[in-house]
Amino acid sequence: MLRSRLYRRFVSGAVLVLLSAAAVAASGKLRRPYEPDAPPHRQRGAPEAPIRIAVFSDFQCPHCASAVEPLNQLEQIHGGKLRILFKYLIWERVHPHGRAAAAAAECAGQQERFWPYHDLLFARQMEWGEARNPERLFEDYARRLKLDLKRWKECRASHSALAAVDADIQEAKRHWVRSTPTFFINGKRYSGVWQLRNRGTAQIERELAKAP
Amino acid sequence: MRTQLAAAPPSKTALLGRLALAAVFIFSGLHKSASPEDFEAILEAYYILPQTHLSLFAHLIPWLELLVGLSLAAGYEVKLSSLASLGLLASFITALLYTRWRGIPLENCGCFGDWVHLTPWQAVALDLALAGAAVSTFLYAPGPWSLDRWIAQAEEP
Repeated sequence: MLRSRLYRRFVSGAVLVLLSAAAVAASGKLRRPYEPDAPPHRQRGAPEAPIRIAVFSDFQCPHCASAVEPLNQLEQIHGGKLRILFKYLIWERVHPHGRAAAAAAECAGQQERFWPYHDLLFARQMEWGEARNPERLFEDYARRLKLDLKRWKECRASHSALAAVDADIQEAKRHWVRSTPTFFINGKRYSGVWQLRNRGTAQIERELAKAP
Repeated sequence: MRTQLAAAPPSKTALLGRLALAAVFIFSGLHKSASPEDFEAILEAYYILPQTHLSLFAHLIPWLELLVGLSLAAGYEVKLSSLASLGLLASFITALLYTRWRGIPLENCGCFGDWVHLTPWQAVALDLALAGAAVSTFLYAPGPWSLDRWIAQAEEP
């Protein structure tokens, strides 16, 4: 049979198509997953949890505010099997107060109050987001959460918080994270809340089913 | 046919060009297909394709690159494969130049997923060099060590 030209051409083509499909299927093993890390004050959940969700987010972005609820729901459903990490990614052209809000939250994090401050910023997003100068509101939130105001203000003045924010932004750029919110569930990327709800939750369930 | 093939100038340079072209396409295809979600994010950054088609292209392009790369490596339908590689390279160069023209800042081209970082201009230079290899592959097709020669040696029906 292999003596026929047509047959040789067909068999060779079919083998190459199958080989390329097999290479696509096997290429997942080559993957060097990007699993973002964050300082401890921007992490919550069980330290050894089998599922790690890193979220790149911007406090002034409305879509990011709408990601708070599904993340809380996932935490309620999966309890101690989930760890959530927060990463900053700010688009200053559209969200001019985003960087300052992130620095304010980072300084709250220095007093182990990042997550309450995070919740407050998202809950009050319209209030400070539309303010001409939101600094007074940021301070007000710090006061409401009973932060050590002197320490919080020193942190704001030191620019160390802004440096942490900018480091995250640079990291996001290096890894092609260009929209917020973007989630990495055990290194697998999901852009936006729709993908988190429709594809990310399925991955979590699959991985938890496999976990011992 | 056999006489024609024997008379074709055996060019080691063309063979090297074909194998180098194949290697780059295989390498690039493998790394893109390793994580279609990441490649989708790269495509999104170019602002060329509609959002609704990003996922389709993120799966299709790496597979095409692999198929073209493997075909070139094996020397199968060399003229067609080199033309396909030229088409792919032309679309990559166009996409890169388009982002420069629109002022879209890209720190790296994303041509090899997250593995090798080339600036857009380095990527254009590489693509132009590869286009040269594709042209020489086309001109010297099928060249030595190719399935096309083995196919041509078969009996006519």
